[in-house]
Amino acid sequence: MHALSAIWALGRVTLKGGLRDRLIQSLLLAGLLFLLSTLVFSNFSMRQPLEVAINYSLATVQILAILITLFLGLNLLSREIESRAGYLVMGQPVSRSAYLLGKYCGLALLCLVVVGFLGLCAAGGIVLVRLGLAEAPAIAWANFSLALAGILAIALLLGAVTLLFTALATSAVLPFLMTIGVWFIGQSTQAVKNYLDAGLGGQETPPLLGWLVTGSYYLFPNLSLFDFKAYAIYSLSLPLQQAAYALAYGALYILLLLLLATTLFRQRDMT
Amino acid sequence: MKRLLAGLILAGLLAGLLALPPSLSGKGLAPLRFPSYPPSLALELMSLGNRELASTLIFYNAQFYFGEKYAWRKEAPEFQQLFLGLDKATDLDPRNMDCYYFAQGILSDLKPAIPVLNRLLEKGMRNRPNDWYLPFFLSANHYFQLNDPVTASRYLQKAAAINPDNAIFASLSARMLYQGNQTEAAIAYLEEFIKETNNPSVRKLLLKRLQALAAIRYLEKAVQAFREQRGEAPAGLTELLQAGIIKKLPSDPYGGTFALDSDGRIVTTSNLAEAWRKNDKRDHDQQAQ
Repeated sequence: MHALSAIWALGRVTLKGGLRDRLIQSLLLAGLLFLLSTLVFSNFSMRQPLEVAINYSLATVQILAILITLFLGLNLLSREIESRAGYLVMGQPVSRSAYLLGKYCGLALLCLVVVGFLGLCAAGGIVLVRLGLAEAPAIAWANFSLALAGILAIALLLGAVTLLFTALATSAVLPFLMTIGVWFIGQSTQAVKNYLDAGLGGQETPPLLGWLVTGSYYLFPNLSLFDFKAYAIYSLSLPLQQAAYALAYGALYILLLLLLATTLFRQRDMT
Repeated sequence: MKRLLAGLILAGLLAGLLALPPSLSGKGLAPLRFPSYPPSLALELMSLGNRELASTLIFYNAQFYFGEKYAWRKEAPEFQQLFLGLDKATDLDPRNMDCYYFAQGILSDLKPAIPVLNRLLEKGMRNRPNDWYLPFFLSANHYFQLNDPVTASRYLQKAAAINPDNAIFASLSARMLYQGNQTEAAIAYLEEFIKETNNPSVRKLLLKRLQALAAIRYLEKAVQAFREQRGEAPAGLTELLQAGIIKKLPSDPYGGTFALDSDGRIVTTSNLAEAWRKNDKRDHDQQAQ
C-alpha cells in the first residue's frame, strides 16, 4: 500500500471515528448552546455590543476547539495505542510512521470540521446580534476568518504535541495531561517574556528565572502568535506579515513534532 | 403518577424558598465587596489566550456590582477598587471602550479620582485613536474638575480632528480657549476647522462663532493700543471710542453686548450662550444614544 494513500485512508477512518464519538458530539452541542448565549452576553455591553459578541464567540470557539482537540487526542490516539487496537492496522503492510501520520491527518481533519462548524455557529450568533442593533459597524469577516484560522492552528499544534507524547508514553492519560501543560505554558511564554523584557517586575530578574523563561519561550510552542482575535473584534487592519510569520512558524513546528513523533514511534518496543 | 406528583411538590417547595424575602433566604446578608483582582500579568496568564474575554468579564462584574451596590442596596460603592478593576481590565484589553465609558460615568464627579481617571482615559486614547469620546471625556475632566480650559480645549481639538463633521467640539473648544484668554489660538483653530468642514449647517455655526471671536480679538487689540497710548487700561469700552481707537463697537452675533471686566478682559453678556444651550442639548442627545 502506498504510504500516502495509507495515511489518507487512516485519516478518513479517524475522522469518521471522531465524529461518532459521543463526547465530541455533546461538546459540539454545548458549543452551539454557548454561541446562542452570545445574544444575551453581548446585551450587557454599554458601548460595544457587537465587539463583545465577536469577542465572546471567538473565545468560546477557541476554548471548545482546544478541549475537543485534547479529548480527541486522548480517545483517538492515546487510548487506541494503549489498547493496542492499532495492531490490527499495523498488521497490514503499513509502516508505523504512516500509521501515526494517518492518525494525525484524521485528527487534523476533525479539528478543521470542529472549528469550521463552531465558526459558522459563531458567525450566525454575531449576525443575529448585529441585526438587533440600530447602528453597528460592519463586521470584518476576513479578520474573523483569520482569527478562526489562528484557533485552528493552535488546535493542530496541540494535536501534534499529543501525538509526540503518545509516541513516547505508555499510558493514555499522561499525553493528555502533558498536552494540557504545554497549552498552559504555550499561552504564557510570550506574556511572561514581554513582562521581564520590559523590566515591569520592578526588580532585576534572577538569572535562573531569565534562563527558564527564555528556554521555555524557545522550546514550547508560542501560542500567542496565533491570537488574531483582537483584529476581528475591533476590525483592525489585517496583520498580513504577522499571519505569514505565524503560518511559517506553525507549519515548521508541526513538521518538527511529527518528525520527532514518527522517529520515536518507529523505535518503540510495542510488545 | 406518584413520581410526577412528588416532582411537582418538590418544585413547588423550591419555588417557595426562592420567593422568600432576602433576609430569610440569606441573600443580602453578606456584605457586597468588589473583588481585588490579581496583577494584570497573572490575569493574562489565567485567561489562557482570551484576554479580551477576561477584560469583558471584569467590566461586567464591575457593572453588576455597581448596579447592586449603588442602585439596589443604596450603599457607597468601593470606587477605588472599581477603578483598579477597570484599570486591570484595560491592561488585558486596552481597546475595551466599555471600561473607559463606565469609568468616566462613575468617577468623573469625584475630584480626587480625576488624575487616575485621566491616566486611564489617556491609555484609551493611545489604543483607540479613532474614538472621539476619549479626548472629549478628558476635555470635560480638565475643564470642569481641574479648571484647566487650555488643556481642555486641546483635547477637544483632538476630538474634533477625529470627528470633523461634529461642530460641538469646535464650538466648545473655541469657547474654552476664549475663557482661557487664548482668543488668537481659538480663531486660528476655528479657521482651520472651517476649511475641513463640508457640512453647510456646521459651517454656518462655526462662522458665527468665528465672527464673535474676531470681534473679541478686535476689541482686545484696541484695549492693548489704548494701554500703549495712555499707560493704563481703559475703564470701559466707550473710552476706546472716545479716544478714537475704534470707530464703533462691534456687535455680538449671539445678541449680547461686549464689555470690559475688572481684569481688563473682554466679556459679552450673551456669554456665547446660544451655542452653549445648543451644545448642551446635543451633548445630552449623544450621551443618550
